[in-house]
Amino acid sequence: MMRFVRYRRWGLVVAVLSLAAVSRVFSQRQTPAAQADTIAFRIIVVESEDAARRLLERLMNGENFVAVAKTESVDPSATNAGLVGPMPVADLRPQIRSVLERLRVGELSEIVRLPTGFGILKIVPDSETTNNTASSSNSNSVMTSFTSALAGTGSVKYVYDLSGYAETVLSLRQVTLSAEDGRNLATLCRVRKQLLTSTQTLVKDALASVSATSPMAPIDRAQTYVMQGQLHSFRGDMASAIASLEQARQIAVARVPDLRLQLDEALGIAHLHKAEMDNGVYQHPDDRCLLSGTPGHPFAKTADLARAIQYFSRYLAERPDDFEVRWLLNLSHMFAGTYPNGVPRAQLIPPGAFASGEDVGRFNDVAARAGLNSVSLSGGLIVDDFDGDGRLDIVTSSIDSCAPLRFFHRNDDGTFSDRASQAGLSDQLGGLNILQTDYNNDGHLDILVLRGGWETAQRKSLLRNNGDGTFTDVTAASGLATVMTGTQAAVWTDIDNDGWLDLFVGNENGPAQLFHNKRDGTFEDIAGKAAVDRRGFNKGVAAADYDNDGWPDLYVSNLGGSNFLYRNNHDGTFTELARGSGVPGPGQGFPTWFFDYDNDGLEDLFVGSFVTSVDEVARDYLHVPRSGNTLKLYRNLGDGSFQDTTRQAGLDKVLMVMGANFGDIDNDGFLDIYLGTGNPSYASLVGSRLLHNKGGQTFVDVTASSGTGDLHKGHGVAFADLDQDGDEEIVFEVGGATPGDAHALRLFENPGHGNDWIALKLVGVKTNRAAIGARIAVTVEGARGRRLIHRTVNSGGSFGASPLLQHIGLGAGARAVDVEIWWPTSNTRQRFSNVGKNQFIEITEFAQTTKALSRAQLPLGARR
Amino acid sequence: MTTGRARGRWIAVALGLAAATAIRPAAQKVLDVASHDMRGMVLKVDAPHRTVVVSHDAVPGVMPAMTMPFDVREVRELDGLVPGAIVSFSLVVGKDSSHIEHVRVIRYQSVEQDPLTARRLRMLQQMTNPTAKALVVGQDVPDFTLTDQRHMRVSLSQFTGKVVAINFIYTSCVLPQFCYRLANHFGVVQKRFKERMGRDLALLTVTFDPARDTPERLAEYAGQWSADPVSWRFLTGSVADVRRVCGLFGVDSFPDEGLINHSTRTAVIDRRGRIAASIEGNEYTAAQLGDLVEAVLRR
Repeated sequence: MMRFVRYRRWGLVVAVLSLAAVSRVFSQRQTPAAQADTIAFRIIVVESEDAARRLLERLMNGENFVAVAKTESVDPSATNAGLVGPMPVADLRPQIRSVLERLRVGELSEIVRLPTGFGILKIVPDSETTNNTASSSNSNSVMTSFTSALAGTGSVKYVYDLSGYAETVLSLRQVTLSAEDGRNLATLCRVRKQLLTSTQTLVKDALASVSATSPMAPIDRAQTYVMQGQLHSFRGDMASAIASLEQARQIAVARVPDLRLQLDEALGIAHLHKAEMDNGVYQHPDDRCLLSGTPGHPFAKTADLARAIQYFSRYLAERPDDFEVRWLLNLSHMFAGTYPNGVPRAQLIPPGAFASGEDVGRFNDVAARAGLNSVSLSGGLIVDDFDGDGRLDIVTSSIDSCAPLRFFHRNDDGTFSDRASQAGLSDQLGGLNILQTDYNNDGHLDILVLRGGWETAQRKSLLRNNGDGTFTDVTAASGLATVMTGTQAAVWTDIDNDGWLDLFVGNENGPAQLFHNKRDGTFEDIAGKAAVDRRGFNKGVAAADYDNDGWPDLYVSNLGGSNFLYRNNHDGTFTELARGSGVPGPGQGFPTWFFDYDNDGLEDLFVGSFVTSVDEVARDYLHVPRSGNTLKLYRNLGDGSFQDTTRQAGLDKVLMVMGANFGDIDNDGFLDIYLGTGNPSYASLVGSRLLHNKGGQTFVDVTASSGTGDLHKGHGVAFADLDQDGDEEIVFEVGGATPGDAHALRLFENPGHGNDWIALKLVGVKTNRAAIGARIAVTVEGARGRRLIHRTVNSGGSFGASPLLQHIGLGAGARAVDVEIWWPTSNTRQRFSNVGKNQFIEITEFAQTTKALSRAQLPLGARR
Repeated sequence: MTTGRARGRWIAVALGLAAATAIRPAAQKVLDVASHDMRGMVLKVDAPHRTVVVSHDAVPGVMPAMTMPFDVREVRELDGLVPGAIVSFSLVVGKDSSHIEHVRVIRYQSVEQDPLTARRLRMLQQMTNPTAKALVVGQDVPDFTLTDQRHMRVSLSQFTGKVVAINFIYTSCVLPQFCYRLANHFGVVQKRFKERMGRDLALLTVTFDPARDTPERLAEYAGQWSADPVSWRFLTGSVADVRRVCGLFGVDSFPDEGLINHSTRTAVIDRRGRIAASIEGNEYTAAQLGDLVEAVLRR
């Protein structure tokens, strides 16, 4: 039985097995410690290796470990006589894990190097841990990102950042705009452009003055060239970036030898990125962008790949256990067409590592054929019907402060046309994320634009859909413009069940905002009154009625620190319960959502972790121990608490997840997951993942077999049946944080699978018109007997918006499809028996009958 | 460990004997001289007497880490030395006396990615928007007021008459060799000076991430070391206030995708509110910091 306890000394959260399991570990002498789930040990940390050596001698001569730990250890565990745990072995630093692996109870370890000094360990018999467990299990779990000297999370190798994004953000932060200018999107664009130019000039001038006989330290001279290389990289001018980095490398070779290896890595990355750009994979992505582990179509121009391979090989000759560079070396060979045979055996990540656990069919990218010619930076994505013609349109945004929203209207044929200017959206510049809503209950979907995420406080935009194909910016009138924040996370939900959608916004640089809908087109921020204004670096927010009491609750995913679960008190206030409920998150949280992954009628919770380490991802593929915080899956137990089922579900992966969403790719009635990955660095090429939900139990990686593993920076994700043939496509906004990392949108067409489905459009009457928060339960007799499938109306995950129309897979041979809808505001239920399958149906609150919607198939791609 | 000069001399003599007997056969030809390369933190500089007190690292097989006064022959060996500086030098042990030579200040120059990025961004910041210079040893620290882990307003001036050690962290720091190591050093100092904490010595740990590091969060962080809330204050405040305090001590921080690229700095302020020592980086031990604090307490 898993349970959460708090380990008193550290404030680290550890999910530990009960004492019985610990005892089992210790009674099996042969079990290597690292294979056991949890372990308890004593540790003494002293500050020099010399001191540790002398101490070890004293201990070997019989001196008492406990006494020495108390007096001489610099680790905080000294106050507890050096006792640590029981805690999961997997949560410990790799150096400690490997020492414990060889150690038997009572033996003294060799000396272990730690961030605070040098440690000596001793595994303790379970009798000694009893007090520790007893005293700590009383308090509830604590999950923090505090990194102790002993925790594995502190040993992660973070990715080398080559993108110039850090330099750019610094420049942006130094500008103080007046409130008026800050609200003016065109001004923001202009200021940003000017800044980037002036920063380039400054660095150039600085270099001109240092190249002479300046007294600048060699390391700083080298770093000035690195800075210039970063700024060239930002624009995607990789040839100039390489020239600058080469200058830096020359200085390093001559004057700062310790810096050289890092510059080899940087130059390898620069050449790799140049090769990708020169071969057009960002503008015209195809199978060359996909991580599959099989020799695909090699690049035509390979000179830069050869240079990249040279640099990476040189690096690995000196540091063979660097998994980031090993990963990049393998990638370079894949692009060059020399994988796997050209990769030295010692550095090979074998093709088998990428093999899919099963085959759900091959998806093909039809974006270009469908006229979705969007090449953009990172941004948001909504797929929904904005003009009421029954066809799904696509809206995208970009973090680029000068890039307008794109509004791809679905044409009568298989194509889309950008109607942003006709729709009055072309002056809506920038926006890291966007969401649809119907805040005024007029039946036309409105758009919310969130800006400033990762960067600086900016205005949001609320764009009212006028119902005639145009939108009006009503931000100021609605009251959403009052306080500017840096945000990319928001969720629309009716917190007081009054039939009007309220807006909860998570912010990076200040308290969250809860905008209560006053039903007259205006909002009031009640976050303080409602007690949902805890501070954190909010990267994702979600809403659902997790305790089935009829009122929506809120969840906040934080980058750094514990997440927040706000339970709705039904009186306009909330109570924070994340730790007590067992949903503290990964500590480095990013996208999040509620979904019922096991169809038991309870909303479960997913949180993506944003561990920006290529090294960790490569370790995962190679099944080499890694240390970063994994994704989190929390199964709702129905009593207000959740169980961490991450490991059982096969989601204990370390990834840098950004955009992500869920849908049912094979209509088996279980929700699958698609994860976009990356960070600004051009080295962050780890590939998006498609994970197939097997019967509500485990998620199987089907990335390679489905052809959906785009290596580039994955932002907004939506699942939507764009061709209305009864299966969901994956729409994927790809592109990094810098102009040098802009990428084309991808539309992965579902190849089909033969399972049945039903698509439900819900229309609220007393409940909000968009029906957000309405619950659907479908009972179906099928090949696997009678079963229930649960859905809640929303747009899915926190980064990417799927249609509010609910596409529900029914499995094979569905018969006797019964549908039950629960409407939150009226607290009423509708039941419809023997609803026809494989069709689109509209259900209006209180209506006696369902209404079939005529939706002809609309194959994607230009008519030939 | 005491830093008493008499005891230091005694150790030096003992060391001379130990060194003499431990010398390998090849060196025995010059029986009266041995030389050891050493590294340590300067605690006190006494130019008139041509001595410097150093809390030095262990010399494996010869002597453990300890605090000792060393003589120099040339007073210029002491140029540029200030308390808190990390120095390398050679200890020359003669038959009747010993001295040090080739004293060199080791500037903190990490090639780890994060400090390097912080350093690079600082250069860019200086080009685009030069900031005021940080205080140096001997300068008065202007008063500042921040909020501690118990929501109490705390001003530096309330510690006048006490020695104050100050460091800078953020609790979401993912690299334990920086923020955690520094905070842990304070944990060790707190333990070592248990009797004098609050009475004679105060510790201040300032976050440069006020958006996330609320008093509650800092209290939780402080709990790792059972920090006494009266004598070890974890401080946060408005962005502007925090930035000003960081600026006084030359602490840079640059937000980067939820993490922060930052410089690493620890300072000791004397009883009269002047900078007594300022240490850059993380390459020193808690024992050295404790020795430094003790040296300032003894002033």
